Amino acid sequence: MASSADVRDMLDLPGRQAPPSRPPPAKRAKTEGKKFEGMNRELQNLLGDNTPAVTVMENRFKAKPNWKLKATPWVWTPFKNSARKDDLEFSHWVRGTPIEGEYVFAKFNKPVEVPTYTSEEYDKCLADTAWTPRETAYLLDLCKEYDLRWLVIQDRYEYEPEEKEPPSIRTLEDLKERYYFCCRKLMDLRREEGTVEWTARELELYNAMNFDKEKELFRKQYLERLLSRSPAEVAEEERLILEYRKLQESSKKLVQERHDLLRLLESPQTSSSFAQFQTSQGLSQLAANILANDKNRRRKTGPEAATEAAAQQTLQKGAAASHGNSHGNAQHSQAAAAHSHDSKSAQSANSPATATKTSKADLAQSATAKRVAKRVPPGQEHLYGISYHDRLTQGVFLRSSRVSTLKHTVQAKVQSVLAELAISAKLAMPTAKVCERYEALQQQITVLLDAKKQADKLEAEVKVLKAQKGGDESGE
Amino acid sequence: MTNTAPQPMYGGDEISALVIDPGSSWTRVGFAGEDSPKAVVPTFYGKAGDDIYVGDNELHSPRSGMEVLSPMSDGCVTDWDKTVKIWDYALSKRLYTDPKDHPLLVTEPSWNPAKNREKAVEVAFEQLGVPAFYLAREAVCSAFACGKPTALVVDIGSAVASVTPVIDGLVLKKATFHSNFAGDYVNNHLKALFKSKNITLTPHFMIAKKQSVESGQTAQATLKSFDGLADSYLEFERGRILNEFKESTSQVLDMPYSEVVANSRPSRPFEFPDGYNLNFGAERFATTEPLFQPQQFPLPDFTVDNNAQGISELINASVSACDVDARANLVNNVVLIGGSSLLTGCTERTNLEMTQAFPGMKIRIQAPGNSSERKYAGWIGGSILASLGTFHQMWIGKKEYEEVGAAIVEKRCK
Ligand SMILES: Nc1ncnc2c1ncn2[C@@H]1O[C@H](COP(=O)(O)OP(=O)(O)OP(=O)(O)O)[C@@H](O)[C@H]1O
Ligand SMILES: [Mg+2]
Repeated sequence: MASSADVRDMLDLPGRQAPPSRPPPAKRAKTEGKKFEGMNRELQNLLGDNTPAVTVMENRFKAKPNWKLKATPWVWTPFKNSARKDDLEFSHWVRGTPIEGEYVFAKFNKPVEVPTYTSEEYDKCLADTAWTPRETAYLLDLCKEYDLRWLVIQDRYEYEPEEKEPPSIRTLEDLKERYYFCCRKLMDLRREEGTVEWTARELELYNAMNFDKEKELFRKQYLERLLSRSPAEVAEEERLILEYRKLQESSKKLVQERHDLLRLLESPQTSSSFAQFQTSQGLSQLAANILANDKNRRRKTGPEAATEAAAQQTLQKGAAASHGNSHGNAQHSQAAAAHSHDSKSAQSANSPATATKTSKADLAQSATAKRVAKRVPPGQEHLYGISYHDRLTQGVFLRSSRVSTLKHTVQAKVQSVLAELAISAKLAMPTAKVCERYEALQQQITVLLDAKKQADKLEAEVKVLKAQKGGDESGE
Repeated sequence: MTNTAPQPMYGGDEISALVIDPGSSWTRVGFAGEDSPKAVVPTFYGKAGDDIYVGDNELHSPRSGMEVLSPMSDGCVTDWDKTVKIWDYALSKRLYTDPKDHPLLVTEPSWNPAKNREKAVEVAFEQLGVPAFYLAREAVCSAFACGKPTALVVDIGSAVASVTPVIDGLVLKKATFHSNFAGDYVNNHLKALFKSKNITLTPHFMIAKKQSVESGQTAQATLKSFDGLADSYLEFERGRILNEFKESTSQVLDMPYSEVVANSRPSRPFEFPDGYNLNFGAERFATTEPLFQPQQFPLPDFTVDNNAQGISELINASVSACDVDARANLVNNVVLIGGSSLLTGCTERTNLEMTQAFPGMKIRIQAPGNSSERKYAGWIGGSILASLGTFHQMWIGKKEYEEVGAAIVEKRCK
């Protein structure tokens, strides 16, 4: 490699006065700080001051066992258990040299706290006609002995009344009531005497011990009733729940429908100016909007295909456009005029006398239509190729493309039925009549399918009920 | 070289205790901490004159004049002298151990009378000379063996079937019910069945040689002859055939017995020790049905008292005797154990009966899948209990016994 000095030399440039001395050899980067385990020194030097991005783990083997070391002995060691009242000694195996100390399991010996009282205290606040001091003491002893496990306490409760004492028949609730009563009374007493300050915990405890026997009895009665239902009752209940769900569902549906209906009845919002509906164009727009809303709503509930609503939308757009056109050419062809309200209203807009005061119904029976009707004998319109339409779209289309489509799943089923009837899904000659009949057929098939579905469902239900009934009878 | 304290998480602390679970047909003996008893010996003794024979070999050898008797009745040990002989045999001849060096835990049924409990303590300290003793409820142990502190323990053994509610490791005595419609009762029915079919039960030890014969043909066997064998001994030996029959052929129908259904099930052949063999159909089910319906299926020429309780009634009575709050929990934690619960179909049938009895509750029956866990559940639970660190404060020490006397058992072994 040519150094800058050589270049200068070649180009006859004056050389630098002091030829640069060789830089001092780069100092070996000191490997200060951490030395990473399991990494070559050279590799670590390359890292410089940076910490490695990945930690390198070296696969190490287990340390060699020290064979010379003596095995840790297990010693059969006697021990005393501080949880015991006597000084009985057991022995167990201990690894290594045993150390003296508390027995590990002694700390689990936790008795419950059951209040104690003096006889004065008893007289002061615990006296009760139904309980003698002796029986109360017996109860508290039992509570302590069985750690307040009430089911066991009641099971083991065998108080033998002294002479003159009435025989004691205690229910679990009696025992609980008495115990909690004693606890609370004693807490009260001690607080009044000022010997004990109540902390939040004690207050909580005090409130928790408020035992309501009546409520408890009622709860148990209720639980007992719940648990002792007969199989028939349980089955009946399940059936009722199912029915209830069904009813709930249908009522929800009803509410929804009602809501929709009410919305229809609501007066239209008149926030915007009324003026825009005064022209015929505005009026037809309004009609189209209402129609679209209606369709939309129906689409939400009914099984109509989504595409239909979409088609509707484009249809309206087309209609709106056609109004614009008809405005332009005052003299529209008669046939076109006879075809739809929209166009008709557009046309009649030209003669303001009719436009302002005629209702829609009147529009349908417009003068042109009447004129045509006069000349064609009724019932023979089709011979002349005359037909009346609600709406017409602009432009040319295939009639077959107007055949209404059904929901995807339904369509498939309908088509299979059609196939069964050997009718092609694609119409060979989609004249208006054929299309009409075809649609009617489709409609009927869907009705048929619905009916069949319903019938199947009912049949299955009947079967289930029959089976249930059979099971009940054999079960009894 | 450190002294490693037992991990608090692991509650075990072996003190090398012994565990004995005396049942009406088998006594199970072993070391605490192990998962099955080291020795299982028959709870019977042979008595010929003044000589007492215990242990499998001695009991089964034909001796003239030897009566075979049981030291137990109603599931409780009643003849303590003979029981000690049996225990002594098991400990010294089978476990090679001396009870003087080991704390001893013995199980007992929940209805064991107080006198009998005190006797047990007395025997343990005075006769066996144990340093510490505990008398555990068998039902509690069985529940522990299934890992449950709270359970409804249904134990169908040989002499007794019992249902015991266990709450937090304590039995509810007033809600414990038991009856004698268990394994031995099925044996009686089988005996009646064979008698009605004119089948003579020739015990194994009498057979010198036998030939295989066609089903239903008379047996072709050469018999050994013995003199002066006692009836009780022969009964005992015949009992083995009945047990074999139960284990291989008997079955519980998975619904209340009906002749039609039972007949529709496949029949099964059984070969008696003398070679005679026969196909058994509906009888396989009919002889176990008294476990569940004692009144409807009495022994021939007997009537069963209307108060008698089959398994389902025992369960119903027990659950109804418990507080309402405990019921749902109990029926959801049913532990089904005991040798006779191994009868095929017993678990399913119990489940069915319970589902019908408690339609509003969720029923779950836990029956150990392993047959030894079922037969030895009481022992296994005792083994667990006696090796728990926290349990060691419960033992009755020798000194305590000397100070307080046998009455201490009521205070300690609740
Ligand atoms: N596989 C089996 N099928 C049917 N019955 C069996 C089976 N195994 C054992 N048994 C029966 O179980 C009974 C023994 O059960 P278990 O050992 O639980 O009774 P035990 O504890 O000795 O007596 P108990 O509990 O009544 O005092 C015997 O009657 C025996 O015939
Ligand atoms: Mg048993």
